[in-house]
Amino acid sequence: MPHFEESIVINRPPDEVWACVTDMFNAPRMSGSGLIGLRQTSPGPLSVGSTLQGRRLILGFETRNIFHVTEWDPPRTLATTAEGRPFRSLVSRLTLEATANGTLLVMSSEFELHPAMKPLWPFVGPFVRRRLHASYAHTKALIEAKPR
Amino acid sequence: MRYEMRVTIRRPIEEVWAFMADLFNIPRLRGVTLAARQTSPGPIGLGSTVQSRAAILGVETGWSGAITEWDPPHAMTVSVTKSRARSGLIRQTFEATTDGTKVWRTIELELGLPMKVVWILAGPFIKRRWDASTRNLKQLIEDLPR
Repeated sequence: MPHFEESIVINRPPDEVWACVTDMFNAPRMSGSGLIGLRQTSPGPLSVGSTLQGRRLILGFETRNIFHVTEWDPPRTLATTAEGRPFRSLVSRLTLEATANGTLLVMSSEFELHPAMKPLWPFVGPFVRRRLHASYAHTKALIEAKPR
Repeated sequence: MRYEMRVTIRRPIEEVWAFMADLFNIPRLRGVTLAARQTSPGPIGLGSTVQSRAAILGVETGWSGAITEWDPPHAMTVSVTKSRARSGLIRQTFEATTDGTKVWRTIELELGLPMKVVWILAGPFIKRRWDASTRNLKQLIEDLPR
């Protein structure tokens, strides 16, 4: 099962980083995985059990994902599971930890691809990995560029 | 600066309107918009406020606006209230035809001097993206399951 984990230190306090990474409006700006939109579909504020609808571009094709929030502990942890192509299952987790230099943001995801996508993974995987890596650097730049 | 695009979509006017009235669909057009959302409470309509982010040649910029015309399923206009432009207007009108729905998309921007200079460089790129987004609009709606 493919697994990604990246960590980055953002020169901002956890509250600021949390506010930015949990604002769905920012998701397409920060995602390196082709996310073109993410919105909450359940009523009320985000919490465990909330659902989100996402749209993603994979190799030029649009797919839909439904996310379920499984862990919500502001400003420390957010975890989701997702359904929808190209994934058979996807579990993502964000953790934030205050450090002397700001916030250590650790993003991990583990997924199982839809069988039709599995043969493509050896070719697409390195590309996705590079894009994700670039997106974490972009996330850091975006948050640090915000006026204090 | 005024730019107008036209397209005929082989779907009934109500379907075209429903698609365009959902801001979540705007980034799907793959123009310059990264994200768009309603910032006022309640259902979208006249007076609703919106916020959008766009990426132009790799540079991100944001704008806010208000819906100043909302006449389902015929016309919608967003007036830009806060952006790098002095003022702006995005108007979309829809007309039922025998082939489906004719859509006019008009963008009007009044630019200050610095942005006029930027426009000389970025304008052709932005117009190409707008044209592409209009083509994608047609494709996306016509691909919707009937």
